[in-house]
Amino acid sequence: MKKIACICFFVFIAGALSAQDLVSSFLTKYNENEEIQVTTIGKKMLDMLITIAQKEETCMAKSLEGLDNIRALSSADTTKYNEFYDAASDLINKSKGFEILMSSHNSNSNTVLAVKESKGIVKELVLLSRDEHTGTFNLISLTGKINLDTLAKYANKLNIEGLDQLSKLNVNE
Amino acid sequence: MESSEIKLLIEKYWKCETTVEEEKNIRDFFTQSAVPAELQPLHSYFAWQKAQAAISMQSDNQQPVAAKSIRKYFYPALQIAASILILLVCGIGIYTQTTENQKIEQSYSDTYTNPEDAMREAREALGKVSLSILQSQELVLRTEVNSDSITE
Repeated sequence: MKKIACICFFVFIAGALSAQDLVSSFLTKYNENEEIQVTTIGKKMLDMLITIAQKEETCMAKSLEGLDNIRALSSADTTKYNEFYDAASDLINKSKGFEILMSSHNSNSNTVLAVKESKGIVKELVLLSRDEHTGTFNLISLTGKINLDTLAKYANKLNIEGLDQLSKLNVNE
Repeated sequence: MESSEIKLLIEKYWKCETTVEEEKNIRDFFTQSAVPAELQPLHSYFAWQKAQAAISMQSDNQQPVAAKSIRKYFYPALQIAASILILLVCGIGIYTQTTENQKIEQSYSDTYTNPEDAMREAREALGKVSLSILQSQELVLRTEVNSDSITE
């Protein structure tokens, strides 16, 4: 009984430690690489942004609600962007629980959108892309409680705003 | 035991009809100091048997005792050593993993102190991500429409 309890304890500890998000796993490999720029917006800053956004950008505030952090990795190293993209893509494929929502492959660019769900809630969302034309690699990760519908509404709003601006330009012309 | 009884037992013994208990009685009888003269020739035979039995029993008993004593002394030490080894390996593993995680967390915790810059970055990231979600939803819708038109 004691042995089983010990084994369970160590398995639990090992499991808890290995439960990293995708960006952390990626950075474990490329931690020392200076070509990769990492931008992180943590929970406290996100809470602050929600408070600011609630006044004018309610849709954005709703999109930020529930998020634990936003991380963006980018590299403009034209010699290594393919390596970074392949490594991140490999991690998505090998990591347990990731489901690819969309994958688009053009002659110039590749984009993969993947999510990780737990008990019916999207806990991690990853957008991976590379641009052959500019030689850039981008990896954006959102972690926390992610509502895909709210994000889609935000995108719709962005599209409408874009069209409004376009129509305004047309009127001015 | 009287000599008449022992004679009967010996007769049975040669016919291989004696029980284990009876054979033991015969051997016990011959290991006594007072053995009748007529049975004296058999004395050395049964005495030798008794001696052999004692030797084999002794040798049989000795090995487990030795093994037991080795276990008794080394098992607790081995158990302690194994426990220490497991704890060490796990400890080193946990330490390495946590320091690695801390390093990553510390290196990349909150890039911005200014909310305006953070807002700009968040807006950009959310914009890219949400547009991709919308794109994926549109793809799904388009696929459904195409499959419906094919079935019609």
